Amino acid sequence: MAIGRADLDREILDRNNTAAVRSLLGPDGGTAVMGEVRRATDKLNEEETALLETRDRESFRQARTIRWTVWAGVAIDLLLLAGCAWVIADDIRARRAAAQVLETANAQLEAKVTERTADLAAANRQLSTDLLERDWANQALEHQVRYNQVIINAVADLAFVLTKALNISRINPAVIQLTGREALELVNQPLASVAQLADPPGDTGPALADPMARALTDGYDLRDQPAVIADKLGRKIPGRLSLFPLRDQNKVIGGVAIFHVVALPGIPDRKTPL
Amino acid sequence: MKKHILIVDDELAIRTLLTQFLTGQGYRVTATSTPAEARKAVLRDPPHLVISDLQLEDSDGLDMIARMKSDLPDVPMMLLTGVLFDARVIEEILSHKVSCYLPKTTSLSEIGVEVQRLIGPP
Repeated sequence: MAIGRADLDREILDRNNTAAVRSLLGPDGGTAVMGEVRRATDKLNEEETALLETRDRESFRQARTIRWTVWAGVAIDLLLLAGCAWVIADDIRARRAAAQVLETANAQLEAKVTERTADLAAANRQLSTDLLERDWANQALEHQVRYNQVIINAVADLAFVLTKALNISRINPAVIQLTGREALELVNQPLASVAQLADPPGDTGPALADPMARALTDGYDLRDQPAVIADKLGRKIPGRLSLFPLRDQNKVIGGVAIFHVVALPGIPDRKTPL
Repeated sequence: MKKHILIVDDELAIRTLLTQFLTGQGYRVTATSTPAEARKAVLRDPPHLVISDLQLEDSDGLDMIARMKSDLPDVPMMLLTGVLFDARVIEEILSHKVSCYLPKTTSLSEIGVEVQRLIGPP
């Protein structure tokens, strides 16, 4: 079947068919065909060039996009890095500040603890000193009282400590020994219930206690007066009584009565060694 | 070395309290109950100050102090006693025999002051 010109041309163009080209060139090998080929080639070149340009443009765009993307990524990374660095630096600053605050607080706490410990130690020392001082004062007082008691107890004569109303407030052991009465029986009792001044010869008046009351009221000594003392059995024991006012800051607050036994009935004089 | 104080008192409680106080003040203290013990203590370790009671079991403080002065002529002697003396007695008699007289009713802090006055700090 004969191939039409147009079909042949298309065949040449589409398939680059060498045989077809030869068949075309064969009979005339003419210029027209060459021209046609040249035009087709030129067109082909133009189309390829256009395609290449398109490809290059797209490649360029793609490369530019990639570049932008990369740079944008790099920029974002840098921003993120900077952000992270800022956050880390800020965190470090905050931690340092917190550590500084903690260190300061610790130092203050330590100072306070040291101060408080010193205060407590001082208070403890003061307390110990106060306790020691109190013990010393108690000891001194106890010693003083005991010493005074020893002095009174050493007196062989009967000693009565009296209130200003001539009531007995204290006695020495000699009173108990001679009268046979205990302190509980005598304390807060009138001296007259146990000891009385002897009646002066020829005096019938009753006021035996009056000289003693007057002595305390006026504040003078009553010395070596004849008197009697009654023991638990009611026996009257003769003796000599002296009364001395007790003064405290120039005020008579009571008295001390000293009874010296002259002789007991049937017993030698106390001055005589037994 | 700390200054040494010799205490002579027949009452244990007094010796204990005084020793406790003076030791707390920083002094070195030897406490004895009789003049014989005190004499031994003086020979063993001469004191910087002697604090003595007046009424001791086998002697009295003033007598002991008088005898001790021959061994310790420059050492101050303090009489610390429960016996309360009249001011004139203190002035005319005791002041010639002892460096200082204090009644036992004196507080420990005042005793401390007197000790410091006599021998200085520990």
